Amino acid sequence: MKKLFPFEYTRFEKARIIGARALQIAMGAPVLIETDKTDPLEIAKEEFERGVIPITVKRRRSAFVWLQRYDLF
Amino acid sequence: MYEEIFKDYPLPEELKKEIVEELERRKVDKKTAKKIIEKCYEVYMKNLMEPGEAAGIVAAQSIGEPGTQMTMRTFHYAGVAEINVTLGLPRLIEILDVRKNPSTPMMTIRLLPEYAKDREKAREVANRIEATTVNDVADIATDLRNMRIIVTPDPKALEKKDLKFADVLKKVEKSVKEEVFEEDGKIIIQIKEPSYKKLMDTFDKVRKLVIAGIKEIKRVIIRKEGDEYVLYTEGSNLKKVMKVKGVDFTRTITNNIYEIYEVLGIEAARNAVINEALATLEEQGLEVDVRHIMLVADAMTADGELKQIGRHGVAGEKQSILARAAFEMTVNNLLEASVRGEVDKLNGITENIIVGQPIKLGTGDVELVLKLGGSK
Repeated sequence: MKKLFPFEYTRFEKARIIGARALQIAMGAPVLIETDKTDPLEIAKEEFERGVIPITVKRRRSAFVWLQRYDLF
Repeated sequence: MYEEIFKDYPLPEELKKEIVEELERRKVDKKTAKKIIEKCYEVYMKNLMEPGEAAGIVAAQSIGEPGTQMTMRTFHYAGVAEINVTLGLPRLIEILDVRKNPSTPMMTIRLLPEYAKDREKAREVANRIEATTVNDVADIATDLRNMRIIVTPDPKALEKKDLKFADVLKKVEKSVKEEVFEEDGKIIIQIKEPSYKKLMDTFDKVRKLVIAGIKEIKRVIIRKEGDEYVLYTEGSNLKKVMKVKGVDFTRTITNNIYEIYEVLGIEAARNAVINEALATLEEQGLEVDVRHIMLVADAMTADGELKQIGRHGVAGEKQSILARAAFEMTVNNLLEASVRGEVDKLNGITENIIVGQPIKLGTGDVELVLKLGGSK
């Protein structure tokens, strides 16, 4: 992940990941952390912060074009 | 000497220039310079917009919101010597609609160094540009009994405009298709047909006939700015003015964007759009970040020609039928499309909203995949 700009998840990617995970938890998927929370969204957020969500983003190479930085791609 | 450091931290040219300027001013050594450039790079990256951001919509709102605060008045611009210029919302509409004949065309003409400091020479150039009609230098009367028009040139007026009787005669002869001859200092135009209408038509034509100068330039005003004389004109013809002797064509501007496109090209037109729009908003006291206007200008000029934001330009050339129908002429667009059997591929934003599917912006632009490998 560090090689491509943006180096972290964009806020859209973060929102999508947490949202998808929250939907899975709400529909009964096993939770991957020990927590006392009951709201699926809260649980998903905590899972994201701990980095245990098994979902990631596939970035299309053509989507982030930055003319001078071919060494990054 | 800071060039090699920049190889690891690529930044835009303008930014590099500023950083180098500041570093050189403070005479910074290489090690500290490297740390400074690294920090600049970090801050720059943090400030970049994220992919997926709805830049177009943000730009449209950023320009539209101050637009609601603009007045519809078209003021007398008492600032620059009594020339009326369109301001405010009407002017912004003119710019974005790429009007080929703006309502108040105006040029700012700067002169070459030898001409700029001398008032007489500046006046000379002004006379060469300003349109001089027959009416300005002569008295015109109709002689109904003999069916002719008598033009009596005023020698003083001729001298002031630096013209000769022969010039006037030649111009009149060239444009009027009737018999023209000279009679003791006066020009007589004899109408052959016994038609009252022909007489009056020719009379009007002669009165408005331009003898000297450029036809579109109605008025020229000379003002002293700093230590040079600058000409402001009411009326605009960039191509001809640039060729006039004494004019510094590298510093002459007009507010007719279509002329700039024709004479100087598409990049110049893009800059003109940005400058004019920015000036219009600033004049009303509104502050809009330049990058929103840059986005609009880019959308207008991206194909190499100046397109208007409207149904004859950017909005009307969209591939999607639903998007065009949602913009202006609903029934026409739908009818035409169905007659042609067009297919809407649902690739854009508007059509996906209409149909009810996720759009390819923001979170809709994210493709999720399973991350294998287990947790830490």
